[in-house]
Amino acid sequence: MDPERPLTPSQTIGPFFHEGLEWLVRDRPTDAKRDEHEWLVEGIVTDGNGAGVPDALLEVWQPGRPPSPAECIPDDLQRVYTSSDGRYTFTIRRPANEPAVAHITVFARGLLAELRTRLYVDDSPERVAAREELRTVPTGRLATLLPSRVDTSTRTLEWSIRLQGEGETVFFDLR
Amino acid sequence: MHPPLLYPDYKSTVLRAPREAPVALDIGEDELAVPDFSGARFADTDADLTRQSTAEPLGERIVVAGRILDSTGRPVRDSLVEIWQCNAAGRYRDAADRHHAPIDPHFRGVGRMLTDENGWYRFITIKPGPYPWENHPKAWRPAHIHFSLFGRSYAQRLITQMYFPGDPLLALDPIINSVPAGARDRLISRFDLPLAIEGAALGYRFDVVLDGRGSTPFEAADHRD
Repeated sequence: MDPERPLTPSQTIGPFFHEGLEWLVRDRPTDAKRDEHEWLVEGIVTDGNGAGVPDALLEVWQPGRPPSPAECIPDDLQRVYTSSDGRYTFTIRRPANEPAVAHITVFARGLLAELRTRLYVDDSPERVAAREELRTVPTGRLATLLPSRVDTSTRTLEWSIRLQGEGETVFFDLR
Repeated sequence: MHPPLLYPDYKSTVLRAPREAPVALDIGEDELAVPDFSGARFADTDADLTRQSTAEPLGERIVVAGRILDSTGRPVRDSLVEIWQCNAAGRYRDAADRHHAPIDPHFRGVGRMLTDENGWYRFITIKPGPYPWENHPKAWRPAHIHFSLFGRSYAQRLITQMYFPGDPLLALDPIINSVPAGARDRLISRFDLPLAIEGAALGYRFDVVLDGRGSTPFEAADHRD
């Protein structure tokens, strides 16, 4: 058995990633062109003062979307930049209103390593709370993994990310 | 080994680092998967940042190459490596960069490629310059290249920075110094003459070791190292 090799440490993405990572940022349909399985997620990344974080990158990972045929690049990873006021929109796939999970990674200036969280979309919050993998999440913080508002008529969800302080989003340490 | 999220010498961490400890979570099936870039089309110039314009950029041309490995030493093959950096004068093309240094119209500072079957990547680029930032008086970032890596599972996702040996700014930089002392050297590339191109470019070697988390058992057969 080889000795374990020492891992390469993480560093912040910094403020100037936009040009470099942009090729995987694509406009997502907001209204008419969205198919019935696609839900729109709207939210804001806020810091410990409640201010929007204008230079964050979200990666939304929901494996299983078919690749984008035009560019042959995978479509199951979405890169989303926050706007100047910290807001973002992305889409998640939720066929037939079944429960869905999206894996969200947050990178930003001031984050020395990535933050990983999840968004659970389920008509029954009790069913989310009962999920075996979430047994380690304190009950009072579970709501940060669920949409704060659901509008079924427009298939739009509201879900925000609080990096620090009151209502801080649950971030995971993968084991 | 990773830096703490709260490192007050790097001021932007103070309001952005979570205060709650991260919650342990078993890796799920989705995090064992990874975006499949094998069908993506890459041009040769995607890995040669000196040939992405109608003329060559200014600055010192260099080769930056190395291997992407997991913690057991297995190469991570066919895996996306993305880099971005400022130009030789210390200016990013990014619209948010207000540093008073010239933009080089022939340098975008963006590269990407897939690793080969032995985990190798290789970029030709320009040595980036240091640049000032507002963290503390006379703060300048040491020259660095940003690296984004996917590994073989989404659980291995890593974004980091590569530095250059002998840079006097390294000792003063809170971002690299946020890493525990024994691990900082892993972020500093090695001057590597064999990587140099005769008469054209010097070489720097930078290997990256990703966490073994999420390596699936069947890949043990891949071990050739």
